Amino acid sequence: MGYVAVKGGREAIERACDLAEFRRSGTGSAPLELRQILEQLPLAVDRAMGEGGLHAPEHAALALRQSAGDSFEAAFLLRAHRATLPRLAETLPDGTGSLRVVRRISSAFKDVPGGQILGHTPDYSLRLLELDPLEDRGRRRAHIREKVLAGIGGLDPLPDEFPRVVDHLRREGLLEDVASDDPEPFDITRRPLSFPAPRSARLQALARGETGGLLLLAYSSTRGYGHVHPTLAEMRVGYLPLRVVHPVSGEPVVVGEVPVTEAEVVSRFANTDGEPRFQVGYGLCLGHNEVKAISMGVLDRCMRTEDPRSPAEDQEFALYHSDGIESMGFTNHWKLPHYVDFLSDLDRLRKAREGWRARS
Amino acid sequence: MDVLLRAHGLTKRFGEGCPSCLDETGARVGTNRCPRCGAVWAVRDASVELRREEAVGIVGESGSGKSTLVRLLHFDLRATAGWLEAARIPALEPIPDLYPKGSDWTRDLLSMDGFRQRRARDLCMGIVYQHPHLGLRMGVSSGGNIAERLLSAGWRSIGAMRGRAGGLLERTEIPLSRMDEPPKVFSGGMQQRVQIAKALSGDPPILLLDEVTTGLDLSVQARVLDLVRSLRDELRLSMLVVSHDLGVVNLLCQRTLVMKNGEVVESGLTDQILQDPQHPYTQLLVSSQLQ
Amino acid sequence: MRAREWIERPRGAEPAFAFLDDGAKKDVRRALLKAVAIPGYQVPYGSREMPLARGWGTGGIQITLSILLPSDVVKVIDQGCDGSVNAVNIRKFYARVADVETTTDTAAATLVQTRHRIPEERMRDDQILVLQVPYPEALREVEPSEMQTRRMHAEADYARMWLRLYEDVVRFGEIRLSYRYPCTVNGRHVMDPSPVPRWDVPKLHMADTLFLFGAGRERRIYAVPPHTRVEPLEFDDHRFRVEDFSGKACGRCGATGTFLDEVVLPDGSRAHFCSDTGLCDKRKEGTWTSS
Repeated sequence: MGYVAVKGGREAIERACDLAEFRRSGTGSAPLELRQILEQLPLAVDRAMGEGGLHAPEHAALALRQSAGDSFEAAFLLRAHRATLPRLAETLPDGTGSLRVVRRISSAFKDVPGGQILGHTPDYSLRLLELDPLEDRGRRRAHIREKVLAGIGGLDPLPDEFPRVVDHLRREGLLEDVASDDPEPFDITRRPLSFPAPRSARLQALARGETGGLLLLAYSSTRGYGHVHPTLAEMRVGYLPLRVVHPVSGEPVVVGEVPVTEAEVVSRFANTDGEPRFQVGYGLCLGHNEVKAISMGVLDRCMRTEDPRSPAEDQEFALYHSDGIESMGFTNHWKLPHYVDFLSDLDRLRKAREGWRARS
Repeated sequence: MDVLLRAHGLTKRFGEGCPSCLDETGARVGTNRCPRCGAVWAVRDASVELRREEAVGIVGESGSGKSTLVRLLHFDLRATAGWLEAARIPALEPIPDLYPKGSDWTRDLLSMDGFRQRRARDLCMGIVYQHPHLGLRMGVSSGGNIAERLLSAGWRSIGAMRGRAGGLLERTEIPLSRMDEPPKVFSGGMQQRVQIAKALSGDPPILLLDEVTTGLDLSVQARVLDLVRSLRDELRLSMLVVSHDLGVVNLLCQRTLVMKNGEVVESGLTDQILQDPQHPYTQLLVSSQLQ
Repeated sequence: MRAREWIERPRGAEPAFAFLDDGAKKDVRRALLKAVAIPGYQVPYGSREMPLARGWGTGGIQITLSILLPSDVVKVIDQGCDGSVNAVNIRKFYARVADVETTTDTAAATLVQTRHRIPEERMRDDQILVLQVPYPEALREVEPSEMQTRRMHAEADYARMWLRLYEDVVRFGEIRLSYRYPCTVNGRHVMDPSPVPRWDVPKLHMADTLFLFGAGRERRIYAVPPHTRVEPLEFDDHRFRVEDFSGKACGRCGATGTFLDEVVLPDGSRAHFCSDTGLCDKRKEGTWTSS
């Protein structure tokens, strides 16, 4: 029997890429415009930006279109693109006090200074699939625009200030102290993580983490695989102005704003050193992604447990396995040829079986 | 002296077993493991009796099955075969339907449901393991470790529990000031003593000791053994003492069983076994240890 | 419903009363019967997905929808308040799928569904309280594995829960469990009363009302029938205590002896208001008489 080599690999690969593009080109529907994706699927755009670690809404919309809706691929495209970009400046460190708030709630108190601003959220809608295919979307859209915007001039503006809930708790001495030595933040894009990782590194990694992975860990920790009993002290959604030092004048200037979601989670007291106090877990991510920010806050607190016992409390476990680009890439890599590896395994198995048969 | 516990034909096999096992394993052959099917006979056909206020030693090398035997008696492992009965012990009275009508012996404890097994065990036995993390919750305070037993038994006063725990810790020579510290911050010897305190918290008539001094420094060993001996006398305990060290068994036990490859090869009075061993393996063991 | 029934159903037929199909209601009702027969025991059931998110009351909703009658008058509260978004949403849903009358007056309701509070007014024997439960398992605090906690309940093995309370007292001088305080029901099962504050736990004991607990995401239903003992876990020398509102009164109606919400004012000071807004309204209107 002759040996048959596998040829035409390159052609096959090119054809496969063509087929992928063919598949997402549709069979007659109008091509998706970036603007449609940006405007009508904003949460998918935000999620891709957050996991890609790049604020570039149009690029994110493009990535979603190019990846045919695969959120892992979209984040990957953005992350890869980011790696090609030069770093022109670093923003000045800032608190989020300057956040332009569009949504702000606290679960810890019934009412708080600044108020409970529900903002835009589907949290309170009934999850009933709107099944009527004949519905005139254009008319519906016009109706909702008219409904929301009518009488908008007569509404009270948002308050200027939203005093932080945790600041109130801190003033009463109910929170742990936070070191104010303000160390230089770790840069996870330039240096690999080593453990125990400094808090800035942990938070950066969480901020870019894959939403589902972080959710799994945070959820597990509140279901018994951990000892955090969280209360959402405050969650804010809004636009954060970024400042850099002007290259010519040397003065700080605002160069734009990015959408972010911020969550501060307070956990039940557990310290035995000194006066009992609550601890705070902090989460901040790019884009409007509440599940991720809350999960970050819970995990930030988990990873500071003195006696870590569950996966969520183990820094290494949580941080090594929650980057979507890494985890997705590696899991997909099993599809690459491994036949040499496998042959080696086969050889070992055959030898061991010979030995076993010889002995029995 | 009346018998408290009697076990017959205790067997623990790991793996499927095959027709060749009987001939290919055991003390005579020199292995626990069947070369044909790979089954491990950790304990085979062992019988033991424990009398009131008596200490019985179980000696052998590692792999002899001595620890497995004790684990079977403590229901840590499920026996493959054999039966185990307890005599009329006041501590066991609370368990309903444990004794068949008119009998002075319980039903076979090995074939009982897990729930009643565990209850019976908690009421009449205490155990101390070689590795403290097997017998203690390392993250819970020492007092808490003892309190857990009391809480199981229905104690509901913190003051009373701390009193009892404090008393037991003092008796095992642990300073009262350390009652609220977790065992993980203690030395090996102290951890063993906390285990002993915990094992005694329910006033059990039977104490099982599984290699409790192995791995400790000699001076620490001596202290722990001394404590065990004085507790035995003071509390009139029945004890099963597992050790590879004949010296330990000589110090504590009136009778001894010798195990090899899962089987009991010799049993009798400790003095006799040490001075006039009959089985070749026992002779080897004795000559290699007591010089 | 069988495939044939489905194909032959009359077109334009009304959707099922109260949203759930017969099969779903049957599942829930069977679970409820078993739950009432074994007070405090968590009955597994085939929880359906609802148009509200898991964690937002799907368990409570399934119970209500399964027992709702057209003649019922329904009150829905969240943290004691009829006006909270969660309560408003659910009430809207019931009005839509069952066309029942709704109320904010506890005394006028036949069925009250609640998240994390029990109404301050003592409920009657012709009323039912349905509680929304996030975590049905009281022992989750000490054991993450469901397999283990089911065994612990089966064997009434609650020592580790008691041990957690003991350790808290020893380390912090206080039991830290606040809402979800574990209680022994009918002298047998330890139950999680849902995240109601400690203040509400005594209301469950020997009440006239039927209490039904639904955990949709976790797929469990449990119940406390009328005139059942519900006793919070406590020590003889460290008793169960409710939240302390001494020296405080409602800033709106002046009530004392009721659970008060704490609100932070812009100047940083604090004010207190009745958590039970329905009762606060009645007091303010002067229509409330204590019975």
